[in-house]
Amino acid sequence: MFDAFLSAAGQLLTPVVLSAMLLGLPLGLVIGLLPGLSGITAFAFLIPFTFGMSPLVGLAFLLSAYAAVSQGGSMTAILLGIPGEVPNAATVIDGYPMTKAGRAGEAIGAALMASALGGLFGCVLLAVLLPVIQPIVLSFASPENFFLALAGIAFIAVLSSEAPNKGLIAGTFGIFLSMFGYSPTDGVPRFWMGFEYMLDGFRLVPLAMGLFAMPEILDLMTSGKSIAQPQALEPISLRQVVKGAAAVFKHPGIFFRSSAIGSVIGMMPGVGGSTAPFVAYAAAKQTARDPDSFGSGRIEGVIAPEASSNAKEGGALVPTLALGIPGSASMALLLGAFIILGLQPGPEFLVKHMDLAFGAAMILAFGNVASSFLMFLLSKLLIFITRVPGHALAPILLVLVMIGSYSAENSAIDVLFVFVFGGLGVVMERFGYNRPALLLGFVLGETIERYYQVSMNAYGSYFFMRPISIGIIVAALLCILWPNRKRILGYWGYR
Amino acid sequence: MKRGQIVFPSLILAFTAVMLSLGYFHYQYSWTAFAFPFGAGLAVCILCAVEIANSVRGRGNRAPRASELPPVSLTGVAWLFALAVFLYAFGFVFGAALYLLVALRGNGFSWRLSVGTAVVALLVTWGIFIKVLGVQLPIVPLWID
Repeated sequence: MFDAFLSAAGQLLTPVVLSAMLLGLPLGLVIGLLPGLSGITAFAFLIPFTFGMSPLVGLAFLLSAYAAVSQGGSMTAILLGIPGEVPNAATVIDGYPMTKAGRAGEAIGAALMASALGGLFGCVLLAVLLPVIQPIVLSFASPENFFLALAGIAFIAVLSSEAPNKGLIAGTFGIFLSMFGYSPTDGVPRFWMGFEYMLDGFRLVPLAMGLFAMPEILDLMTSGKSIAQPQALEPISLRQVVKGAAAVFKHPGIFFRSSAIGSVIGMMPGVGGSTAPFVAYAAAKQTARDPDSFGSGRIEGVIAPEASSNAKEGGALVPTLALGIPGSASMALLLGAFIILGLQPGPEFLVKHMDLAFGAAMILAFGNVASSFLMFLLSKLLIFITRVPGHALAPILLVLVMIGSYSAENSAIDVLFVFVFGGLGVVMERFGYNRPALLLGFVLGETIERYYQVSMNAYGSYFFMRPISIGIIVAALLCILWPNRKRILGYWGYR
Repeated sequence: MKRGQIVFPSLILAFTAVMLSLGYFHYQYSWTAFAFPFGAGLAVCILCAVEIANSVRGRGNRAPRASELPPVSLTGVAWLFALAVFLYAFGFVFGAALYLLVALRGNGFSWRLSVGTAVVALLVTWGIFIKVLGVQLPIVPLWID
C-alpha cells in the first residue's frame, strides 16, 4: 500500500504530468468563471484532448481542471451574486452581502482557503478510505439514499428560519417543480402540456441562473451603482483577502464539520453533491449563537459551503474509483474518460492500479491548492469588477448568463426559461421567499421520489427499518433538534 | 406591499392547483405517477393558504431585504428583455455584441468603451464558446431557423 503511494507521488513529479496539471488548471478556472458552465462542461470539453495520453497524464489534465472549476464558480458567487455552478448558490447567501458591504476581499480569502483545505480534506479521506471503502458504500442502497435526500430536505427549515412558512413554500414548490416531465420509475410524462421541451421537466441551470443571477442583474441595471458601494467601510485590498483566509483557522469546528459533510454526501452515489454545500451551510447556521445574522454577510456562511463543496469532489471519486459507480453526472463523464484512457474503474481497478487511485487523489489535492493560489493572485484584479458601474456591468453579465445557460444544453428554450425563473427570483427576493430553499427542493425532489419508489419495490413498506436508514433518521433528527434542545426542554418543562 | 404579499402566494397556489387538477382530471395519471406531485402540490397549497391567511390578518413576515432594494424600474426590465429581442433578431454571436453596443451607449458610456466591449463580446462568443468550447451557439438569427 505504502509502495503504491510512493510510486504515485514519484510519477506525479515528472515534468509531463506537472505540465498537464498546469495546463488543465487555467482552463478549469475560465470555465468556472463563466456562469452556467460546470464540471460537466469542463469534462465534455477536455476529454477529447486526452486521446493518446498516458492514463496518469490524462487524469492529471482532467482532474486539475475539474478542481479549478469550483473555484471559479465561487468567485462569481461572491463578487456578482451569480453562482458559477449550482453548489455555489449556497455561497451567494453570505458571500454576496459581504461584497456589497465592501468585504469582498475577506469573503474571497475565506472561500479560497476553505476550498483549498476542504479539497485537501476530501482527498486525504479518499486516499485513506480507498482500500476499505467497498463494503461501506455497498451497504448504502436506495432506502439509505432516500433518507439521506430526505435529511437534506429537512434542512430547508433551517435555511429559512427567519421566515419559516415562506421558506417551506419555496422548498415544497421547488420539489413540486422537480416533478414535471418523465416520472423516474414508470416514465409517465407529467404536466408537459404537449410541449416537447417539458418532457424532461424544468432544467436546473436555467432555474439557478434565473433565481440568482437575474434579480442581481436587474438591481444593477435599475440602480446603476457598482456592487461595492463607494461608502464601503474599508478599501478592498489583499490584506482583506489574507484576513479572510485566516478566518478559516478561527472556525475549525465549522471547517471540519462542513468538510466531513461534503465528503460523506459526495461519497453517496445518486444523492448528488449539489446538496452538500446547502447542508453544510444549514448546519453552520443551526449551530451558530446568532443564526438570524446569517444571510447578512457572515464569514462562517462562506467557509461552510466552500469547504464542503470542494471536499465532496474527493468523496465523489470514492464510489467512481472503488466501485465504478459515478456519484454525479460529472463523475459519469469521468468514468467515460477512464475507459478512453484504457482503465476500468471498479473493485479490480484498486487491486491492479492502486498507484493510479492514489495519484488521482493527489492530483485533485494539488488542483484544489493550486487553483486557490491562482485565484489568490487574480483576486485583486477580480475585485475591481465590483467597482464597475451597474449600467455597464449588468448588460455584460446578462450576456454571459444567457450564453452560459444556452451552452448547458444547446437549447434556446433554456434562455427563455432564465427570464421566466428570473421573474420568479425577483418576486421571491422582494417578498422575502428563500431562493436557496427552492433550489434545494428542486435538486432533491426527484431523488426522493426515485429512491422511494425503488425502495418500496425492492424492500417493501418496511424499508425504513434497515439499520443504516434508522441511523440516518436519528442523525438528521439530532442535527436539527440538538441546537434547539434548550428551547424544546424549556417547552416541556413549562408544560 | 401587503397586496403583493397576498398576490404572490395566491399565484403559486393557483398555478399548483391548476397543475394538480390537470393531472387528476385531464391526464388521469396513475397513482404511482401522481402520488409525489400530489403530495408536494398539496403541501404547497396548504402552506400558501396559511401565508395568505397570515397576511390578511397582518401577521405575515416582512421581507428582510425589501427595504434595501431599489424599486424595480420599467427601464431596467426593458433593458433585460431587449437582449432576448437582439438574440432572436440577430443570433447569439452578433446579437450579443450589438446588444452590448446599444446598452452601453444607451446608458451614456463612450463610443470607445461601447464598441470595445462589443468587439470583446464578439471575440468571446466566437472565439471561446464556438471555437474553443465547441458550443453550437446560433450564428444566424433565430427567426431564420
